[in-house]
Amino acid sequence: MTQPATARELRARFEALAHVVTVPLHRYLRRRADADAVDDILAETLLVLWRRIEDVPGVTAGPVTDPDAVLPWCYGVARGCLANARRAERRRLSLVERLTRTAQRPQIVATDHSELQAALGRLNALDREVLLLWAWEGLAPRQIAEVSGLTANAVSIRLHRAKKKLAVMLGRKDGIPAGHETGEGRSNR
Amino acid sequence: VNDDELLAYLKAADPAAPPHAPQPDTHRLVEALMTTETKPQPVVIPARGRRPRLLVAAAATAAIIGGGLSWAVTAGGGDAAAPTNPSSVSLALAAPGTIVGKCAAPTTDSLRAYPLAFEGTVTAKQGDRVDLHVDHWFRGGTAETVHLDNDEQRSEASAFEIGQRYLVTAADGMVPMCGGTSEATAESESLFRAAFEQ
Repeated sequence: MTQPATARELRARFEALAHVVTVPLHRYLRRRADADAVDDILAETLLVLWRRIEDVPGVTAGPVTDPDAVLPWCYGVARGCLANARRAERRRLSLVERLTRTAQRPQIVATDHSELQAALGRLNALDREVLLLWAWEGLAPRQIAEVSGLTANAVSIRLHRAKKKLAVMLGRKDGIPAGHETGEGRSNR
Repeated sequence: VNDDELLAYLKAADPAAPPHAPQPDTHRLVEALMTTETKPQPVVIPARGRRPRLLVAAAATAAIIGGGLSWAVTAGGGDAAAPTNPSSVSLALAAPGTIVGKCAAPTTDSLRAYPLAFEGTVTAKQGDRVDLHVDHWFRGGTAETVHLDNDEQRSEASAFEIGQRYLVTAADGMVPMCGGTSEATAESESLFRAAFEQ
């Protein structure tokens, strides 16, 4: 940001950014939000990214080449938009509706993962988010720190603790099938 | 259960695992945004001499207060790109000094003097501008977001931290620094409740 960018340059930057981050952000939200809210929160996230295009670290005048440089910050924005949407939703819904919804809404759809879902539900929200950013978004502690605003050290500690807690909960119930297939590579973006 | 097994187990339960994930239409999303949002920064439109468009609720509240506030519309705030964010308010930060420590402790009576009071969470900070998401209006507003602006390039805004909740009072479009505006604590919340809700 040595000199003000023109509107055309800003738009080009945003388009380059959007093409790198939209799919991963969509996935991030699908993993955490109600299915019918995902598109709205994604649009809101992109709106924030557009308004703050000059603040996004890793976005320069050239084309965005490194998703790893921009994604953690963008996940952080999506996380904030998701939190706002949840707050708005909580205010909107009456208690009865809320209870009905909570009862009906599985966070993880596949039924054969109900045990894992229950175990994740018993982690505190921040531990769960740190764990899922590691497992589902495939982020390193340093990147999780950028998403969550924690220090990298605090992330490492939380991650270690969350893994341990989850392993204990699952192990106690013999939850992990022996020889479970890994299926695919590390990065899950 | 070691790390690899745990990772595999978690991945197997990923609700957005690539084979099943529908792809968002990035091109369409960008186009939709660009047709409604032409400027990269929120545009603050002062109400003086210019009424806010679209915002019936904001206009009604402004009328109750007497029009002294500087109401603002975030560009495109009422459009489809931001359905949960239909209106916003812009306030100026006033008086030098920091929020904490230099003011006499607020009382229910001193708080009641303000026509505008809310509790909000800081969602963004940029330079001297602070965006708050309103968690609760005690008095005087309906907007979901409030922008605090500091025109004089002072550094009061640095007292606000992203993610923190604050109790804010305002009058005449200004947030006076000794008006009881502070970080939300159980104590300050109960003071605000006592002032505005009893």
